[in-house]
Amino acid sequence: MAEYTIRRARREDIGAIVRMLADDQLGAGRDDPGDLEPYLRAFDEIDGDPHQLLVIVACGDAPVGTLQLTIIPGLARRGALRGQIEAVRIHADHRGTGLGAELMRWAIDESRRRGCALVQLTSDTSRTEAHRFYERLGFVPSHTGFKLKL
Amino acid sequence: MDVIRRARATDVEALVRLFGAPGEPLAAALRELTNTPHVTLVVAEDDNGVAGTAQLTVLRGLAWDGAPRGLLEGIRAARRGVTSALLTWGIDEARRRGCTRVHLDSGLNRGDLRDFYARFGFEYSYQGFTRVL
Repeated sequence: MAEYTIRRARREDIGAIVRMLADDQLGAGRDDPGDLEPYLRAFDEIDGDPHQLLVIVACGDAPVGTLQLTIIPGLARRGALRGQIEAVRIHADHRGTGLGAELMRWAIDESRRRGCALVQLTSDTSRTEAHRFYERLGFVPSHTGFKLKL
Repeated sequence: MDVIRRARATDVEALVRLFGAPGEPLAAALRELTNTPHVTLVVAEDDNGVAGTAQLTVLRGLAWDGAPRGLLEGIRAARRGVTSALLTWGIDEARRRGCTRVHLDSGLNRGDLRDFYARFGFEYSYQGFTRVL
């Protein structure tokens, strides 16, 4: 039985994380694990910011899941802190094991620990399977999102 | 709109009015916002004082080549023209900060906003989920 642990991502995990991002219906074609330089720059920035947390699920020491959590202050909802969950991925070989739900529950607990009043996430309208997954974890559809490419 | 500038501690009263929320938690949130480097909170001012506010949060992630993206949120405005000025500000500021895209949330079933946002180039793209803790 494989041993899974959730921990902060390290620089040497970035290659594996980017491969998980690229191995995805929407990520394919927009992320290129061939050149890690831009990803490492982004990682250094995330890692140096106490409000941002990039985590992985490790199987042994190999990253097989990832998620990013950002704590965002705001004025709405009586000035509540919010936990924003993004870039949730589980390696294809480890799906269907409940790992994704476990990772999400970790992020929900961490948000609560950091004083957030809610956790939020957005998901592309085409990812209907992911929508059901989030609803099973207690998320409710609460807003619609618009995007502008610059 | 005369000016869009960074929010200050003295804007609390105006922000309380715009959000219809009690002052004390809002003052604390305002302090937190002005101390968070990846957040820019602005107010729009006209002859009668503060007429709107918006928050641009610049998020860094690994996806999309690690490029930053802007999250334009917390928009409250006295009238449509102020909202337009704040949206224009948010798009320009996100571009200035190297963002490759801007996200903008709206309530569910606000089909009326879809056309308005489309004028600024925004496309309906994702579903937002929330879980209260």
